[in-house]
Amino acid sequence: MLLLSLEDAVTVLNKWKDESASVLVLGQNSFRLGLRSVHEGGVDWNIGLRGTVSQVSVCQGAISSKTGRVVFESPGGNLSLSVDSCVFSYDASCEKPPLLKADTGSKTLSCLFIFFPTNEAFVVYELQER
Amino acid sequence: MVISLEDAAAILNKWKEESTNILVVAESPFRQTLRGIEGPGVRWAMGQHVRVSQVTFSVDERSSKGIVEFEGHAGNFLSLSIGHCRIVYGDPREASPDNR
Repeated sequence: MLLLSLEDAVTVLNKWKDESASVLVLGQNSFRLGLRSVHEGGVDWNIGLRGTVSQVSVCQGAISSKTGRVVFESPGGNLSLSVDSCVFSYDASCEKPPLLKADTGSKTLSCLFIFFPTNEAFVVYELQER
Repeated sequence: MVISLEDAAAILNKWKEESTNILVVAESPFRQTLRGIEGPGVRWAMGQHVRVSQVTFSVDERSSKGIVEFEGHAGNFLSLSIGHCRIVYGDPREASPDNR
């Protein structure tokens, strides 16, 4: 797993956007124990959104540091993240998360972890449809 | 109005049984009103069209446990552990005409 800067994370997200890659975004309020379902305890919520990257932007603030934003869109849903204070890591080859073992319609390729300072975390999986 | 976990579970179970179409919106941090991702300090915001797929609820002397699961299109989902939440319910049909 590779730690990425905001600029590198934006490059990955822009690549997925340009390719209209299918992605699955999983989010939860705490990543202290890794990806878990609410039934396992230790997390209060899980989000799963399957769609594409629709917007990626990064701006240099006049006073403060850079701001970054990414928007994911799906039939019937959307998720927007303001990622300027986040830590990113990237894995070129990711296992399908245990939460989704039953899904046989797609295969996970790479993934990008987005960690907020609050412990909230989102994982974006690049999917290959079977 | 603020409602109990039991009442919230009853409402969610009714929506589950009726397969009611639901729009869930959320953002972090939430401060009195929804501001959207453009709002100052908002880290993330989401919206999903879903239905209630599962409501798990139990109350005993020691604790209250509640989990509600929503399912949307194409495998989208949202799961919430609501045992320790403050839950507010409103029905716009019961509001005064000025507030509708």
